[in-house]
Amino acid sequence: MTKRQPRRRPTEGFKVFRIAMVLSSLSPLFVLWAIRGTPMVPDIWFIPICMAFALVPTAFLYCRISNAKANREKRQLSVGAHDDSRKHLLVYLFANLLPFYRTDIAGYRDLSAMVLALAVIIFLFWHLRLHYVNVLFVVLNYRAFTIHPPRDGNPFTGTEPIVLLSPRHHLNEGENINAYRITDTVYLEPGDESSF
Amino acid sequence: MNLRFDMQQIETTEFGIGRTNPTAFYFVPVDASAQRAVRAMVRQTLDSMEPMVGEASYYQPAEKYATPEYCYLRTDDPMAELFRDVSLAGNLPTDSQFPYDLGSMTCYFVKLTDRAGRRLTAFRRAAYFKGMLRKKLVHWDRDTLRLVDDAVFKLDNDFDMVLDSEFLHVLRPSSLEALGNLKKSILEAVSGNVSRLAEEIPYVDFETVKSYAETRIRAARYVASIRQQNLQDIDEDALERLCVTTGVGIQRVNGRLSIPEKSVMGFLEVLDRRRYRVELVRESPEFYRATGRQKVGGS
Repeated sequence: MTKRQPRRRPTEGFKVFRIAMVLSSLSPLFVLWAIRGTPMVPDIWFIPICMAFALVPTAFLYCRISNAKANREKRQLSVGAHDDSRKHLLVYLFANLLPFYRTDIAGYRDLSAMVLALAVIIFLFWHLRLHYVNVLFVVLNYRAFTIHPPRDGNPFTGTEPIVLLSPRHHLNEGENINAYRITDTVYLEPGDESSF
Repeated sequence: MNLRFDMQQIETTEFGIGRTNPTAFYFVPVDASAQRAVRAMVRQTLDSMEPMVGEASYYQPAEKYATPEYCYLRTDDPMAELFRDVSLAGNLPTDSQFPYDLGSMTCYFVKLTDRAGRRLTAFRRAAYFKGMLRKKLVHWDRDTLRLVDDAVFKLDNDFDMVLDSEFLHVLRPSSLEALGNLKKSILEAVSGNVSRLAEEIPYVDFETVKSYAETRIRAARYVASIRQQNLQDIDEDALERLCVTTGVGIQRVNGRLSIPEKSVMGFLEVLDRRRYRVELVRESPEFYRATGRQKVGGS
């Protein structure tokens, strides 16, 4: 009999894509590095590598969103208590852009330390589900809301919060919103004039 | 069918599965092609119910139903509680274990939302859905028959029941019983049901009925079924006469009808209009119990 159903621990989906989303959120940093350059790596290599890290993950993100729309991967989300997640952008700013941008790469040890620090940041953002924090969404006029499930006494209502990227300025508790599924925890409500 | 939903203006299609131990329901992502297939299943379900609308009756737990047979429940009926809760549940979690470990899977369902924000939720027992997993499937690929290694699932032609804002429309009552865990809820409801019977028929002592039905599912079903009927107009003398003529042994104690334990089932059959006497041969009465009955003619 063909063995088709190995047991496995429950995990969240889109593992690789979420790393791509984190890299996409770091794209301003890669662009700044490309502009600054480093004496350790010739520009003929350094600039294309930085631009690839800036553009390829963002292209993946765009493809994912387009795919979700083409497949009509829409869900109706119920809004309970909710937070505006703009403060996460400040975390992003102080954790990513400022420290890494200001660091001078004078030698291979500096370069290695920076790469390792960046890897730790990427892992933390991935693990803490902060992969939605992206300046690109802000530029396109999307706000990030953390939606908690409604307290309706229903035994089957979900318990995990969901992040909704929406052009709305505020949400109302108790309303239902149709949004596209980007990952299992991040949803996007299309706006009228956004490029998404 | 007077459905509280517009099938021509579907806005979202969400697919999910139900598991047991513990009972929980999960969202499972599906692409556009699978969404089209499950919407077609809903349409097929409604088409199957349409010719039976004229004969549809309110679901009675004691009734024996054919498969398929259309019956319905109000969404606020306790027997529809589980399905109503699933339909109204917000932000169901994504099933992170799918398609693995499906031994606990009991059903699959689809939640549709129309442009007016109304919901339609359809349920199906998962007996055949998982059936393909144990099969050796082959497919034609690059001029060769190859074994299919991927997990393959089979969607049925229609759903067992469909719930809108007002009614649970049931095409297969046996699935309603299995998925709704009605046996447990019917037994748990005995005490409350008997209390209401005692209020509406005060000249009958229901104590033996209550203690008997709390541990016997068939009696509990009769009690639940009787509870749905109009009992206030039942004439005391007519009830006593029918019990006597159909061979149900009852007694008078302190002016009230008392039911010995051995007569409880017979008494419940009388109350539920299932016990009748036929005397086609003179002086040879026969007594029958109806597992299914329908009112004909009259008011």
